Amino acid sequence: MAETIIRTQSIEKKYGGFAAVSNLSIQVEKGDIYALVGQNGAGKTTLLKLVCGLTPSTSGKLELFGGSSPRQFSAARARMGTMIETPSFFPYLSARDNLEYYCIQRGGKKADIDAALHFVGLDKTGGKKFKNFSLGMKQRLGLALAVMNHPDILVLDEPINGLDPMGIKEFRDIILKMNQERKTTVLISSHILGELSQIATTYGFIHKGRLIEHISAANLKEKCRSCLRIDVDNPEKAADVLHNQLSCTKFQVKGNTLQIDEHLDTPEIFVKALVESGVAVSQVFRSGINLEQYFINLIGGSQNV
Amino acid sequence: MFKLIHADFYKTFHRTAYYMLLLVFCGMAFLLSLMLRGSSAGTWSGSVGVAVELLSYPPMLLPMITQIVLGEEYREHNMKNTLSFGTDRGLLFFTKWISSVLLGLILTAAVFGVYFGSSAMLFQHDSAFSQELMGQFLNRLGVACLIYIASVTMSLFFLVLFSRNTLAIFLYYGVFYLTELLLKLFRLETVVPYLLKSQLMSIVQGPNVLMQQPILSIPCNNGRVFRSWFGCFLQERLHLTNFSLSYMKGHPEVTLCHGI
Repeated sequence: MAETIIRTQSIEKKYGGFAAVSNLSIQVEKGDIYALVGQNGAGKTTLLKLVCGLTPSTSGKLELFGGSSPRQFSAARARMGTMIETPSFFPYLSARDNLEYYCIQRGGKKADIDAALHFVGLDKTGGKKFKNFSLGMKQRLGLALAVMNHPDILVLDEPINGLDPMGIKEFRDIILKMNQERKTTVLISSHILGELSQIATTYGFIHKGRLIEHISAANLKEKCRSCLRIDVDNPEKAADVLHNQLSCTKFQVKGNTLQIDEHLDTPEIFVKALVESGVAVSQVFRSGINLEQYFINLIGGSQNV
Repeated sequence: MFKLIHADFYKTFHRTAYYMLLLVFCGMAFLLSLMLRGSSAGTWSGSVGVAVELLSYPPMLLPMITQIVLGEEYREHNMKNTLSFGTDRGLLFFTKWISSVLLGLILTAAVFGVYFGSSAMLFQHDSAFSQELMGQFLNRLGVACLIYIASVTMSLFFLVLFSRNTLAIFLYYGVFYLTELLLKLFRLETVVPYLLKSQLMSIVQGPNVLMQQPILSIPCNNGRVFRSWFGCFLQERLHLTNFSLSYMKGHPEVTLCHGI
């Protein structure tokens, strides 16, 4: 059984009368890349801040590495690498000096600083001060700080904001490398759903402070998969044609619709065979949705976006 | 705790602000010696008298120290990097207090060191100067340091309470220098002797500081302990975040800042 790294139980965070996070329960297992998906103001950042101890919860229970006491939180958070909101550092210090400040604070080794800078490609910035960094460089330094102490879990809030396409790819590679080589668990939120879909193993969809769906990447893929849909007048005969004449095995019959998962780019093969066998075809279309469409459907359509 | 203090010192000594403070105030101390040279105060005993007068100035500089140690972490929003590593908020505030006190003491020592060093070189030795006179000055300095520590605490307290640097600085100067005026306005003169400023002035102007020391230290320490405790309390309860209310209010421009 996988070790649970983060568990929240009915956690709630209120600002005045407004519940930024409400009755939210998630579970992040060791080795997961858990993607939090939600609109602006959905509660993703608040949840990450609760996990990182940057804001106290109003009610509910939080467990980190199985512990839930303040002392255990302190020890657990020392095993976490975090990047919440915009990376913030001392503007008059260089990348190395900034990391050294935190390295001293955390009792780390100086070798870790160079390794972290090399890891994110900032090892050649020399004495350039943080205030002169581009947004992408700032994001990289934030990531360097997060990985510097060899964390068991990375908590990343919108980490690819401001990165160029190359930077996004490099970032994705870094996350995957850490996850695969070091077995680092990742809890990540991002608006760039296409990127999330390339790395996430589990998704948590948050809407108006509530978790509306928790789903594994495999299940989501299954739900979103592309297929060919053919509406026919005689589905039994159509199924027989597909099976016997075209040796097609990857299909399902749902009412008067055939849902086919192979030869998606050559629908004419199916149409020709069906028509020649006397099956009337009323509609042929390719369906399938991506993560973005899935999310929009989940929260109730584009009027909610 | 030592790691946090060490990191504060690393940060402070890797920037120009603290060196500028040292340079400016040590330079002023040296200039003062130059100006007094040849005047009636331009003797070793005279320099001690002037040094006693100088004891009233450090509280003006202390907010600069607390800004370097804590204020800029509010300004740059980078305290989250420390807190998210599991650092206890109360401990963090306490180490900021220690760092500010130590940096303030280093600055005070450097300024008086330069002043006395330059005085020793530039002024004439006179018969009125004695070890006893110097001992009295050090005694006054020791008691004044208690008030400086209380002032550092007050400055940090306002920073923690409001997490807005400018407001904290104005409040500090207001409370330190204007409370006496307000108390007199409301006919509460009996409280005036217990104010930090009054105590500092009594050190500077009072005839026998040794007699005042126990009286001084009681309100001074009580105030410091209360503010330290309350600062830690705030650190524990409040939180570091910029929370946007745009979602709930529908006004993207409305943003509330919650500080530690």
